[in-house]
Amino acid sequence: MTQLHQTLDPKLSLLGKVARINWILMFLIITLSLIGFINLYSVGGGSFYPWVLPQLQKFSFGLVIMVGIALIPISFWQTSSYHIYFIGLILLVMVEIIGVRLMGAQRWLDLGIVQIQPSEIMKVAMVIAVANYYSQTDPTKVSRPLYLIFPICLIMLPVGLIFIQPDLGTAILLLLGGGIILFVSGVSLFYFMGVAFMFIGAIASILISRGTSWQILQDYQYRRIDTFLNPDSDPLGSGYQIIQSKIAIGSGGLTGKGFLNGTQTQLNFFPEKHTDFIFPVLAEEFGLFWSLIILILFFGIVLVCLYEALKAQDRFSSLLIIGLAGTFFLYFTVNLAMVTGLFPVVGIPLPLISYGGSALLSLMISFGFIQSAIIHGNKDR
Amino acid sequence: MFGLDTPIAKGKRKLTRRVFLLGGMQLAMGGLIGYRLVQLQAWNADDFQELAETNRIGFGLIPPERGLIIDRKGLLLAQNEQEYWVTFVPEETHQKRETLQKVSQIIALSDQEIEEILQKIDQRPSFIPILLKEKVSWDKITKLAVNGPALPGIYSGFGFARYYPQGNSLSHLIGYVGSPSLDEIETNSDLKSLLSHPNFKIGKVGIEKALDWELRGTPGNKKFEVNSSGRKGKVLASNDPISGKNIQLTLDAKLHEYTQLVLGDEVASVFIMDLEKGDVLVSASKPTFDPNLFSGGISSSDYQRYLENIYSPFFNRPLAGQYAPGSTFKMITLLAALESGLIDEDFTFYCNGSHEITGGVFHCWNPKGHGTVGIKKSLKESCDVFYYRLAEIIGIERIAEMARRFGFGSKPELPIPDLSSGLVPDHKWKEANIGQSWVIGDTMNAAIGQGYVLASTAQIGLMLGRLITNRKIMPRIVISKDGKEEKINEWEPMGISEKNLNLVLEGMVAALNEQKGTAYDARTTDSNFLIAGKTGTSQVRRITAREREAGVTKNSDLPWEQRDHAIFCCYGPIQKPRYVASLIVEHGGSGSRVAAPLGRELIMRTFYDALPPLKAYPAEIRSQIIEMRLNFGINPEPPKSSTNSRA
Repeated sequence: MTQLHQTLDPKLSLLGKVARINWILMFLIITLSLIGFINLYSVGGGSFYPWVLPQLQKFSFGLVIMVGIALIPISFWQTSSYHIYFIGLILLVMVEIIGVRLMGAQRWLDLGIVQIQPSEIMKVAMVIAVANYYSQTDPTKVSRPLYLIFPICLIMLPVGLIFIQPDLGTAILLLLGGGIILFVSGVSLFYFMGVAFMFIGAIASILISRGTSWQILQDYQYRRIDTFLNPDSDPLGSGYQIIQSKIAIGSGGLTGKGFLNGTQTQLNFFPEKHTDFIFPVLAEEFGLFWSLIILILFFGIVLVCLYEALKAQDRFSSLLIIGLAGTFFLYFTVNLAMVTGLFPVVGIPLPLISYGGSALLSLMISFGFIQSAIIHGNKDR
Repeated sequence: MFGLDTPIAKGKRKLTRRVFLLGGMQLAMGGLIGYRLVQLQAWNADDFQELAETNRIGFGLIPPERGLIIDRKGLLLAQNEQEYWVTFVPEETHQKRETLQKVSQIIALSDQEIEEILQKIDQRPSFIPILLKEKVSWDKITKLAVNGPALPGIYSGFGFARYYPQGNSLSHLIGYVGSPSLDEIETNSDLKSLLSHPNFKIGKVGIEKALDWELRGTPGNKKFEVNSSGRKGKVLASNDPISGKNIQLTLDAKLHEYTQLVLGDEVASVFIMDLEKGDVLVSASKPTFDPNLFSGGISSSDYQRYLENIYSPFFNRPLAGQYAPGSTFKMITLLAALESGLIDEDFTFYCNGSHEITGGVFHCWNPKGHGTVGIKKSLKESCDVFYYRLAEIIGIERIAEMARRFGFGSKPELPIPDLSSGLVPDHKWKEANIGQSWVIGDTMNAAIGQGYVLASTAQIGLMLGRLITNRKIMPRIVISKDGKEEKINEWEPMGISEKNLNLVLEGMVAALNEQKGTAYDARTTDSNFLIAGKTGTSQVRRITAREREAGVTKNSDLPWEQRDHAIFCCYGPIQKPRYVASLIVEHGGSGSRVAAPLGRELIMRTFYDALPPLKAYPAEIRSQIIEMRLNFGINPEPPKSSTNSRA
């Protein structure tokens, strides 16, 4: 009966919308954030300052934004997708021209009242735009080269702009996030294999060219590769961070050293522990059991999203959810792989756990879009 | 509916397939990360836990308090004084130079010192304190405290500095401490970690060096947390340091002080021994140096001043000096002759002032000759010709063998660095070291303690000790360590006939107590404490025949550095010998005139354990003694009670 009622009346009541929010997803987001606050308390040396309280404020603000976006019909977001993308792109160009230089990279835009990081906006905007493009394209034609030019431009423009900031990590993740939408949209696997072969070929030629007359990279860049492959070769240089991070995680053992008792954390043996290297704090103080629970919670979010994407009847909603959840997936896996020494060090924070306003806001906006798609996307079921 | 092959349905099916593919890949990635976490946190956790511990734990050593050194009566010879120092923690201010300049108004830092400190600051992490000044007085420390707010990063601390309350009178024997050199750190691996303590010192010279290991004690340690930049955090555990052993020496500080006083400006060495246990009471060297200048790091100008002193104040003369023993060696030659059986107690020889042998003429010190000389007279008047004759009879090997039995040619067993062994020459030695064969003239010289024979002041004293006790007496310098008395080894018998020894001692008694004895003027007149002894003159340079012709016959006509060394050794009281003393006055000239009175003064001071009573001196020199004492600023007539003897 209710199902019929909803099918017949596409306009949902506010209460109906709230009822259709995926509360499991909501629970997972809030649980991970709470774990994040506990960690920031520890990073602050057992204090709500300087990390927990500001982060709590930002999280509350982000929660409101998320719910706000969720309640707006997904169709509205679909029609606005190119506008949002365009605004994001203009902001990115502005960063290039008048951006604030912070820590060696030009990522921030000072709008007088607030400083924003357009690359964070673009993480969401690009996914919406590409999802919109594929929702309007005949699925049987997506592999035709002509049909690929536009989405590739949608992806590569922001990727290129972010790459020259320079923010290699974000650029690569954006590229892969776009690639995920192309992948689920049904673009022929040959393209992906082709790109993979080109990538492998590029890596191979970079490595082979070393020491020859046609050497592609600079010597110091090769040394950075060496350090990644064997961090112990440079224990006090760039390998230091990853060694200390592994020591922190490993020394946590099965049960951890106890809250606020992580020696690696509390004695400051690795930097950036409130941002990119926050996972070692958790792993050291709480141990393997909780590390795996965090991992499961993260995958819970991804799997709930994939389930909702399959359930959604409208192609835009599916692609949007997969794209945004895919970006989320990329962020936490790359971060975890980095702190455990599987990947080289790229500046990627751990979503929902790391300190940082801009990244959190864009993440909450993403979840807002996902919830909006969940609420409105399967309306015809 | 699913049967329809519309593009939309096709797209939906493809999307579903791809989502499953994507989800699979994502889960695979999740599995990889999960596997990695298990690998790090479960399988390798032990290794990482160990690494985290080594990261976190720092060790610090707490320097132990150095053991005290006291003399036989309990007077402090080396102690530890609390000292204050001032340090600067550079990270606590941005105006480093200004702060240092302000501090220099209180603790006086030169511009050059400030520059050096600023350089040091650049080379080290800025939280490590830098030592600005040691041995800062208390009122300056309080001044710094009052001005604290205006002097950010300036701290004062305290520790112990070595102090030698007896000043310079025992400095050669006690030695001093200093910061370990690189070589010393190499050889003492346990010092490496103590290096972080800027004022940790080790023994450099003398007892401080020889017994350093026991004086040093055991450092305590502190385990504390360190953070990534090396800054110390909370203390996790600590062990208290164990102080070094307190060492009591056989030396008598007051006697040393008196020795330094009576030696005046002479370049001399004195060795006094108590025969009861072999205790070394005095081992004094002149000139001397102030060991207190070293404990806080000696200034280069002070050090240079000592180095430039031609009398080598750092030289530990009684133990490291080597001199021809001169006539004090005659006891050895005589005993060798008596023990050989080649002469007996009635042996005599006629001295006409010189002795001719194939290869040259050997002069007696008295060109007029001594006439007929028997055993007693030979020592009493120290007739050289008599000994030339003995040498001819017995040969060098017998003399050398006897000399070795009496301790010549080997280092005394004392815990002192840089002891000299002296030299007992023989055929083998000369061939090996000079590359010439031994000639009869060498034997003549050796018989009267000249030529190649070398001995230290201590060895002469030791010889006398063995002569008296007929035992292989060993000197000792340490009475106890931390109250535990050092074991005294029983002295082996020398195995020399008592009759022959008595003949030698009789000669020595005559030298002081009979008229015409070489040291008759240095006799004592207290029947409780009569002394016996032998003078000697160590030829620095032979007076040439040409000089003899030119009228230079007396040593005092020569320049100081060419004059002979004056030697004297004595013991007393003669009825029941207890103390022996030996001394050498470098370039002092005649043993009987210069060395013997000094020897009497010191052995009497030892015996009475106070200023000797005037009645103990021959009547004709008492006025001189009074004058000497007035010169020293001492009351010349000590109260009666102080005439009690030490024994």
